[in-house]
Amino acid sequence: MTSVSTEPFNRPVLLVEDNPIDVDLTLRAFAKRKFTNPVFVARDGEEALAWLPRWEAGEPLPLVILLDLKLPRVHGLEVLARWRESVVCRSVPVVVLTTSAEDKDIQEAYRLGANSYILKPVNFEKFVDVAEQIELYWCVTNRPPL
Amino acid sequence: MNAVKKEKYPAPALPRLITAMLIPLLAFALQVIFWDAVQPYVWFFFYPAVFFSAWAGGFTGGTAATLLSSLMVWWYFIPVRHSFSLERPVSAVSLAVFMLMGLLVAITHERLRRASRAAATALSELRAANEHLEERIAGRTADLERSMEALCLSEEKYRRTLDSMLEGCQIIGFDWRYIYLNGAAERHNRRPNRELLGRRMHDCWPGIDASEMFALAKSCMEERTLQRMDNPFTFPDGESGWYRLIMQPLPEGIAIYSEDITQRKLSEENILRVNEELEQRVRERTAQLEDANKELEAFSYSVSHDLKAPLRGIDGYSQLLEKDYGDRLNDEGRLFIANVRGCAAQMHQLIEDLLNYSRVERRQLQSLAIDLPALVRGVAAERAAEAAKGGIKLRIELPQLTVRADRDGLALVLRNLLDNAFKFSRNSPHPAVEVGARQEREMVLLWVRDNGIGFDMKFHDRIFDIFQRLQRVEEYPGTGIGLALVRKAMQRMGGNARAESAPGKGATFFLEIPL
Repeated sequence: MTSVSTEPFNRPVLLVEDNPIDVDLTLRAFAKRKFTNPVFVARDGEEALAWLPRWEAGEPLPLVILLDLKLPRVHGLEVLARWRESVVCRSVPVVVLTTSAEDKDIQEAYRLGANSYILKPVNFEKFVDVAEQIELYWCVTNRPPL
Repeated sequence: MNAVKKEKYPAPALPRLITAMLIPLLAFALQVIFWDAVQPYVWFFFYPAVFFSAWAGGFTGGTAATLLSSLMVWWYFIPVRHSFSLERPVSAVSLAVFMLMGLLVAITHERLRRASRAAATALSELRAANEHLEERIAGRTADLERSMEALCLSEEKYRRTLDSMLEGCQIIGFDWRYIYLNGAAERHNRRPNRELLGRRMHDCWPGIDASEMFALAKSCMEERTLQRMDNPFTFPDGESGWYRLIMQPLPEGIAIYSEDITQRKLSEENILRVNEELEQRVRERTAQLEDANKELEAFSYSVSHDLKAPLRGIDGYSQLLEKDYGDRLNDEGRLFIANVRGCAAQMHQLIEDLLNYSRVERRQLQSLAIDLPALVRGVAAERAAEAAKGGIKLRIELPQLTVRADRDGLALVLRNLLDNAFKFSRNSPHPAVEVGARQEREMVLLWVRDNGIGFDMKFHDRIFDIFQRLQRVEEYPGTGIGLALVRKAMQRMGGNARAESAPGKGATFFLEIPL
């Protein structure tokens, strides 16, 4: 398990998304691009934060976290802030993937340490393009910390 | 010489001279009568006679009487009698002695007279001087009396002024005793002045030593400096007032002038209170507005997030259906799917426009100096593909101008105007859109002109209202938000937007942008 976790190709991706349709479409978009890394899904802010003790206990860190902002229970920005306070999770790349184009959200997300901010397109072809770009950049091109 | 002589022996008055000459004759007569008794003393009556003549006639009278007496005695009494011959030589000596005596007596009397005259003159001069002096003293005294009167009058006047002036005036001596208090001071103190006059301040007002007012009075008294203060004052009856005090050093101590400013202070406090209430209300209203704004933001946020997610589902699954199951659908089925996707796209556009509109309404706009031609060319480049697709000739001719606006806001406005122009000129035979600008007095006027279908000028204002459409959506698709957004954004940037057109003649949209 430990040897596997250090292999970038097999490290998981965490998708934090409350809308089941968006989860399904995201997974389908990844599937269209033959994306093989395991994708874990957190369905609200609390579930997302529940990953923190598991990572601190030694579970493999995700290659990248795709974070929606408008989440039930705990807001995405709050989740991001709490992760950035943790020594273990501080360096994991976080890509905010949301529909909000508000300046305030964009600025706050970067201030809290988001690595990227991407708007979810409504058009499915464009959405698939975005998924491909994310996968290509964050899971193949980018070199994450161990 | 004569004058000097005259001065030395001035002639006595004529009656005195006659008297002086009669006295020797009288003596002669007496001696003739009493000769038997007085002989042989030939000069017996003549010595006193010469004395009296000199007394009456002075030097001249004395000398003349001496001469007359000598001649009469020589001729009548000295033997040989009735002749000017002398029997015995000693008679000559007697004659000489008499004459010398007479002369001496005359001189002496003359001296006496002169001394007496001088004394009289001196006395009269002295008396005159004295009189003059007394006159002057009387004059001075009168002057003094007049001055005193004037002084009294003026003091009275000042006292009356002090007594009757509206400001309180209290004069306090170096020993802190009240020297003077006027009527206003009595009113301000709410104590009769007679209770205070002559008494020390500390005794009149126990505890005053600890007050700020007394500290100032003390520094006025000791440092001889002017002091001012607004003094709140609570009377024994519990009522309170405000007095403006001015303390001024005086030769006899200090003066404290007091002005009742209670009413002024009350109105000031009233104004402050009203102001405070107003500010409180403004704060409350602002807070309410901020709350409303926050709610609106939350609303837009929800619209943005929650309305788009199902759209993405509709579009995504429609496409998946078409891709994965398209071979099991006939043409009509595929048309239905295309329509579903078209509706989703339209809905998406509507949401995007609404979001932009609400963002323009509530976003904080910056006012920056913007290079206008560069911005226009940037936006035109974004839209170049769109123009090319419709075969539209886009011409931009702009002078070098700098405007003050919000960059994103102005870009949004230009984007909407270009899209609008492209949309309505697309069906023209030779579609052309032209962008120009010129500087006017206090602003830059930018226009976007198309040769499209144009509109009736009776709609020139309505086209800027939200959701107002002049064309059917299937002919000219749109949400009816674009131009409303243009005007709203321009107004928020301190400018304006307007349009000119005629049906079939194209339309020109003008932007007034602040410099």
